[in-house]
Amino acid sequence: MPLSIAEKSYLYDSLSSNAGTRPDGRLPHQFRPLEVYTDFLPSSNGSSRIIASDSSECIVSVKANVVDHQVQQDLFQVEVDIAGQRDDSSEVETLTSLLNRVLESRGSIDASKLKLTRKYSYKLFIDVLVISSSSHPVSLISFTIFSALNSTYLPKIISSFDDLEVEELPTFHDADMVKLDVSPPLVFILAVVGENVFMDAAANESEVADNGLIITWSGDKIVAPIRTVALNNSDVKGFNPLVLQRGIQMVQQYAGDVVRAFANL
Amino acid sequence: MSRFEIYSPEGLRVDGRRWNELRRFDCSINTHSHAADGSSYLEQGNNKIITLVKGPKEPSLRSQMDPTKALLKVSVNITKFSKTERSKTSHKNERRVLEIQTALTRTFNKNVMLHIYPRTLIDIEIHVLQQDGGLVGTLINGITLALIDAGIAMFDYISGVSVGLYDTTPLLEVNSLEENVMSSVTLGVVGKTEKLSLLLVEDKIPLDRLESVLAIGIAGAHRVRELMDSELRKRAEKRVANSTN
Amino acid sequence: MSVAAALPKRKRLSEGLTVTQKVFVRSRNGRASKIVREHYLRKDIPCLSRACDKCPEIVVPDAKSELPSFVLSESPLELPSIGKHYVVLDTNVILQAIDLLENPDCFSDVIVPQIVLEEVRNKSYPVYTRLRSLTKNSDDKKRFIVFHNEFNEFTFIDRLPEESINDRNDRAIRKACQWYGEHLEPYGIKIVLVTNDRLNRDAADKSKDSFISMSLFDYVQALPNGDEIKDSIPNFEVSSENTKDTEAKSEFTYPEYYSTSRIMGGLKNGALFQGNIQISEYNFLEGSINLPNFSKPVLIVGPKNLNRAFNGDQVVVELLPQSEWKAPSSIALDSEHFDVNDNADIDGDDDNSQVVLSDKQRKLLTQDAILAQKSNKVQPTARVVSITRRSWRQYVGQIAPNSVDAQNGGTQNVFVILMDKCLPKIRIRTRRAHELLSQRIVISVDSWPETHKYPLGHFVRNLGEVESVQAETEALLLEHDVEYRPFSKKVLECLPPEGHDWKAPETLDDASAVSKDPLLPKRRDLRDKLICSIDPPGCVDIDDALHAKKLPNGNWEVGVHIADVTHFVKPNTALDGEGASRGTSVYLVDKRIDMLPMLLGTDLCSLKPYVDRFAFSVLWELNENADIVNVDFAKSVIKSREAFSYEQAQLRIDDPNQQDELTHGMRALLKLSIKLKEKRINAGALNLASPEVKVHMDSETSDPNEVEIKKLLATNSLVEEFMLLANISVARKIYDSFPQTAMLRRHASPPSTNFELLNEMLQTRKGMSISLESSKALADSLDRCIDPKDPYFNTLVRIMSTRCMMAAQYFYSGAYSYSDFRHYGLAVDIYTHFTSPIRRYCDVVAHRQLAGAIGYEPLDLSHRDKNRMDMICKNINKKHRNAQFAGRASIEYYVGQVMRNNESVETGYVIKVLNNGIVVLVPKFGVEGLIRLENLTKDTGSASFDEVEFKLSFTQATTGKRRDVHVFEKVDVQVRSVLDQVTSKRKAELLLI
Repeated sequence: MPLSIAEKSYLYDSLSSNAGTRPDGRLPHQFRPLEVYTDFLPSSNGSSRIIASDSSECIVSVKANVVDHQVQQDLFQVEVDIAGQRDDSSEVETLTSLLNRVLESRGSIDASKLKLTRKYSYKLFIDVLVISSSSHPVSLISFTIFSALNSTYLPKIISSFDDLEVEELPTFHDADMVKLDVSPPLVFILAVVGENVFMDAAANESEVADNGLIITWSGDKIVAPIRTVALNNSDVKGFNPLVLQRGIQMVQQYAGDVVRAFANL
Repeated sequence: MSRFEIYSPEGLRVDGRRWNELRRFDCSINTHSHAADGSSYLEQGNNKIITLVKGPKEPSLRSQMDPTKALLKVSVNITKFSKTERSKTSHKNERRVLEIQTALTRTFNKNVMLHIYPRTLIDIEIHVLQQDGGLVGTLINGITLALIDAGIAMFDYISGVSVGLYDTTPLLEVNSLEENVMSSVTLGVVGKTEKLSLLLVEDKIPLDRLESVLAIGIAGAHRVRELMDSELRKRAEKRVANSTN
Repeated sequence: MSVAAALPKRKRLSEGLTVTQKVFVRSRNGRASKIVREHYLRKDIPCLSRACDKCPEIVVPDAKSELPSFVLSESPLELPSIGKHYVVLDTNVILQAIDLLENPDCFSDVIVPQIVLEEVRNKSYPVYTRLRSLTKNSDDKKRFIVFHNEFNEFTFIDRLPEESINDRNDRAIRKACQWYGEHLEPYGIKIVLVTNDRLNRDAADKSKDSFISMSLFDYVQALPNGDEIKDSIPNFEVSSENTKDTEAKSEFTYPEYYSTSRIMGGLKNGALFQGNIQISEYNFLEGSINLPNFSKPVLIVGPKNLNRAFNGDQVVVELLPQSEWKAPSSIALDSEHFDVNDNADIDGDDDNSQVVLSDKQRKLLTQDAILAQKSNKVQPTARVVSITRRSWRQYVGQIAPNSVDAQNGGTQNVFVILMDKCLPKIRIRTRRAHELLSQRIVISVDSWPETHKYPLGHFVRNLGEVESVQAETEALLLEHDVEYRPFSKKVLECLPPEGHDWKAPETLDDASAVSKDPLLPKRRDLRDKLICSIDPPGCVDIDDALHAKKLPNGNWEVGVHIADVTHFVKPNTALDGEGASRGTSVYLVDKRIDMLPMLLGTDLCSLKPYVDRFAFSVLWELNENADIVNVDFAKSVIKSREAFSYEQAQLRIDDPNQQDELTHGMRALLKLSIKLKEKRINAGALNLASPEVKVHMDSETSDPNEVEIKKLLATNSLVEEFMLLANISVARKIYDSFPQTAMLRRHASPPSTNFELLNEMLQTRKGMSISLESSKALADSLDRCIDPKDPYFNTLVRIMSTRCMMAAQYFYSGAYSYSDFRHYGLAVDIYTHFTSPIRRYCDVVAHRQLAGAIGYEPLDLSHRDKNRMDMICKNINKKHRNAQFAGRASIEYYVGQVMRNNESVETGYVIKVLNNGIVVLVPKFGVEGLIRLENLTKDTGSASFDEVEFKLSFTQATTGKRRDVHVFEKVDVQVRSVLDQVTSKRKAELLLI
């Protein structure tokens, strides 16, 4: 529902004030409640579903396939589907390429964990379905991917590792699965209002934000890409570089907590 | 040749059911209350679907406006990961999906009181998260539940179920293993009647066997109707209890 | 939100069902798919024991409203050591000892847990079908049941973490035993788990004593008739007899097979190949395998490279390094004469320290191999690295007398030499060695451990004295997998209850008849047509009849009327099932094994003269030139006026005094048939030959006393031409109506490589050649192969060409594209078999499809389903081939018996020249035989073999002169029948004069 000019102005003033008061009373780094379900699609190797309190909802399935890693370099493939949008819409394409870059970026995921033999590796197909979202979904998607990968179990290989000279096709145990042990990157999105930055901006906050920051956290540090993103169509402005520093600081301070929270699911 | 006994001489199917038994049926409504006007989540066997009903609402395109009645639009999103093997291509514009959408639209056009919502659009969006045979029947049930949740007036429940024919034995509600090795039909049954609002025959079925197939199908659909009905009543009672407190 | 984060392990449903999920990994082609299936557990699965008074209350009816029948006896077998008991079997016992389980004298009241049934099904479908038929006919004395332990809430178990599937399944079997043990305890019935798996037995002993577990051997020994049955216990590991078992366990060991992952990887990247191995008829230590991309079969030479493969096994091979490639051997060697005393080894097959080649090198090797095949000198060789599917079945053979220890009266190991000379001898353990000497016995092969030179097997049953008619006939039926047991009660119940009194209704609108057969009014009444049948003398199953009538417009109305078998054989009945499984009738010299019961074949369906019979008629309007103006198909009722033999028909046609209408019709048929034949020959139809002979039996003693080469009359080809025409017309019609599943027959054109050797021989020896450009060219070039001095030469070339042709095969139309439907031999674009439904199942299917095509009755689903049609086609192709072989073997046996009585000198032709012998065909008897070099000359060392000239020269033993024998040469041979001392097999022995 679009906000009136008066509402916008009031919201902007309170958010950009020194105290940075949010309409729902949260602290700047505070998240709204999330519901996370994992492993609810038994025919996928891993799955997760996150529902935010504003009913934004994202479902992620992880399916594994065996590929020859001498031929196929990319061991991750993210595909995004947003309900009501065409597959070739610019939002879907931007999100897909962003998420693929995040997962492929060097040092983000240890590809050796997917290695089966000297010739073969698992390739993970990560399918994202956004059922509904009221603000920019990248953060929600990344959280869902994180928890899906964290609940991913892959078939256990029983054939031998060395297959380069005398080729063998990998064969697998008929029931045993091994937990995938990776720590996927998380993507945070921060709303910039004046000099202040806010985690997990609600729809009305996004509406008045000057700009948005996308910051990626992997392992225990900030990694590329960092970029800005428009959170609304009307009021995009430039921002003080200080704000970027603040945003990075905020992520550095709290991302670890988020990772631990999801990892302990 | 199938690795399994599809229907053993002892009368048991691959998954342990008898010929006339339904699969597990778990449903709930109002699962996406913010995102849509009516919604349902349904697990029928290993079929898992989310149905969202948006409307009756003002259509965004003028072409979708009919001054005498509402326009019903069904879109089915079969996810790439819904089957055992992930499909490489999107199902969105597949002929089979378009056909299913048409069949579903026609089925519900007759059963929703469209004339009381003129100039509006009723948008039905279904996400298939996992499928394991007899999908169209499950879609019908998901839509029925979501429409009721949206408070849209209907003449009666439509309950959907598939029936396979193995040699001469009709098998109620086929799963994907069974669906692959035999011909099957899908029925949409109106309420407690024996009226069919949908009869989808995708393979050859000998005419002299159709009667027994329909008989068990209708009985199965009635049972599905009961299951949906009891879930809806349970839900309604809870609401009443909440509101009186 | 109601979505459960993870599914509960088991969820109770309102119907008293519980549901759980089965999750497993399917690794196929190097992929690992996670599979999830729903699995429902229930409480209504009965124990099926007649003693039980609880289970009858829980049973529910099936889709046909039938309740399960309780078959396990309330007073089962009682053994002193055990008491009253039921037997539970594990998978391996069933796979290994299915013969023993089928034995009516042991194993009754047996419980087969579902998990065992599933494992059996996945490991061996034939054993599964045999087991299933034991459980189906469970009312008789065997009383086998299937207990669905996996669907039973009380016996289903989840796999424990780290537990292998096999261990879990063994535990499931024990759980089922335990449940049964406790369930039946009040009735004093015990459960005995028979398993050869020691670990399983140990685990069972550890659990409470709700059941007993025993090995198969111990259980059989405990039976009252155990001593008689013990010989039939399969021969597996020698763990119990690892004493001085020197004769079998020499230092000789076979190479180990490769692991599955290596096989799959190698097959995928082209380093390994898969195919069916064929052992040479002349040398049992040489096999060949047809591989894709290779223009010729690849050789596999020597026992280590054959690595325990049997003839017909599906195997995986790898090419040997170039240094070991060989010229194809031209040595004849058979198992019966080789290694009789079992101490020799084959030279040239040293334990070559296996060179390890990388897959890259192997692929290069493949290139070289394909090139080398073109050169013809050195042939690439390969070795077997894994056996995908065994072709093992029951075999007929006899004990090698010199393997029997005359002093030993107890159990001993002996060798059995099989009738099939492509197979090695089998080692069995028996107590009855002396008794079984010079008997034809049936044995089963159980295993071939790598430490054993010969495969292990066990005795199944005794057929009788070697050379007795009964034993030899049964042996050849068994060897060719022909079902010859009488029809079962269930099959006979499908026949019309009136039996021989069945009559076609007088009128087709008779109310009472129509009420029984509502399709009756759709029949056409053709009883006014002057129909007759022409068959071989003494024919009782008359499939076909004909008529011809002049039409007012000068054209001819010609009808072919085929016995309406499908009126009596309805789809999905036991009768239909039996017919489908037999596939064809089998004709032996003295015996016919029917596909359908006698009542149908020789009476109700047989188009006998003077009575009304149902038929399926093909009616044409043909012009004077025998072109089809019109064709029509109808189910009909006919009355044949006369049944002729070929000779009688010929006499009647030739007799100018016969001027009745029937004879006129027959003359017209003959005239038209000649035109048809002419057209066919012009189109390129082949006239091939086989050395067919007929055995005359003494009518009193039914001893064979004369052999005659079959001769053909004009009336033979009269009938043949119209049958061909009917088959072609029907094929077009059913293909039109059922483009995907029409039952058809094709004959592929022969690949030129098949004719290479023959052409080379013709070229070198006679300066002739056979053209393969088209069937017409082939037919013409065959006509040109004439030796003016020897009229038989042409026939000889035809016989040899026939062997180079592809076999015709049945198929369903969806399996090939239209251009591949072609029947090469008949030179038609589409063909089927329609005219002999009494003796061929293909025709039964064609009848049903035609009935569907003309709207007589809807076609059964099984003939509209590609998969089902595929199964039908595969089976009838196999049965058809087997029937041919059985028929030939029968003739061969009787010819042997004839020759036994009269030794003679006959004309023969050399058809193959080998390094150490020649193969000679004797047309008079239709026999061919190898004459070994040592029987040609005393001085084998001086013999020389010329590969290029197809010549063997040697010093003749009798005259002491040097003699050259070439291929195609006409020679005089002394033919006599001898009994081979080693194999007790009678065969023609030829001696060059």
